[in-house]
Amino acid sequence: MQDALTIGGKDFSSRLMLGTGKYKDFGLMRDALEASGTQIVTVSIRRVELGAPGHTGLMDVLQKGSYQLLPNTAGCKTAEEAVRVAKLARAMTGTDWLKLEVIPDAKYLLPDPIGTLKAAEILVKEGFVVLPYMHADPVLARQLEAVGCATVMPLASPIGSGRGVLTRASIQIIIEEAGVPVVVDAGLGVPSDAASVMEIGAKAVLVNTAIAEAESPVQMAEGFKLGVEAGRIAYLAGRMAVRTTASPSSPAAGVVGLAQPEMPV
Amino acid sequence: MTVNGESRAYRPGLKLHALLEELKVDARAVAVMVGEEVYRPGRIPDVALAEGDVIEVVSMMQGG
Repeated sequence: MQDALTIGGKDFSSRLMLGTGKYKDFGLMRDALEASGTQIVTVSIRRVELGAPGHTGLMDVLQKGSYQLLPNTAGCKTAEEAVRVAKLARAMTGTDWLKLEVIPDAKYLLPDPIGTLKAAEILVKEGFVVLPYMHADPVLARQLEAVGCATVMPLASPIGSGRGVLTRASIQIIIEEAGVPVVVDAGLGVPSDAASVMEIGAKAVLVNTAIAEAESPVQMAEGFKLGVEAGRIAYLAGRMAVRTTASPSSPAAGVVGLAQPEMPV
Repeated sequence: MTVNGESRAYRPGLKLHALLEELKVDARAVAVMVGEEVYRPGRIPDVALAEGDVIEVVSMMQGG
């Protein structure tokens, strides 16, 4: 596969991961997933409502699409809770892949770096392919990589905020230093946000709310697909150097001028 | 015993399949944790339950 994204020994042609939350219905979710070209989708693990008839709609849709499932530990506030949910997630989905989230704060949903590192260390030892959600902290990224995480996933801005890339300078350092794929997760609002981090060398992005809450999620999914592709191609192409002053694009010599330029035409 | 965070009356001889049936849970669509043991959908053994068991019954939901 040309220019494949490799995570946990698997190759992917798409660099856009999608969340499955917040869609009005499964049909819309299915269509948006298809339009995005995604191959990796996140799901959550929740207690079933006891005594109520369950539904298997989500599993049906996702199995038909043959996606790589990426169950998350959303809602877990401590490393211990995350490890417990991870085991249930593996049993439920049949995959070792895990989007690790340890989030004690409900307002900004910012991850706990110490709890995340602690849980990552345990889960890697138990054979999980760990993709940790983290603040854009280069030192933490290095530590998560050292304990064996398959990627690092720094946030662009708070989950579901659509505020775009507020952590660019730190993401850039993480990209510079990381030996595992850097996946920018959370806060991206529009395709240009995705393109802008792909241009500086992010290996992939993860998007949910920006697509699910767009007026037309299917169109926005396609927009993100193109944004990610454009950013990736631009990164591979190598951008021009930035100058402080202008540099004319037309030849400086041979300009047709007036004998007395101060005279009006 | 505790099921999904709520306490539930235990009766001697109770086994996991009977509990899931009482809870109207489709055993093919859920994962179950009893203590530290985790079971996959459709492959849930009919283990005997004990009074102090902490049981989780979960499924896959939408999420980001």
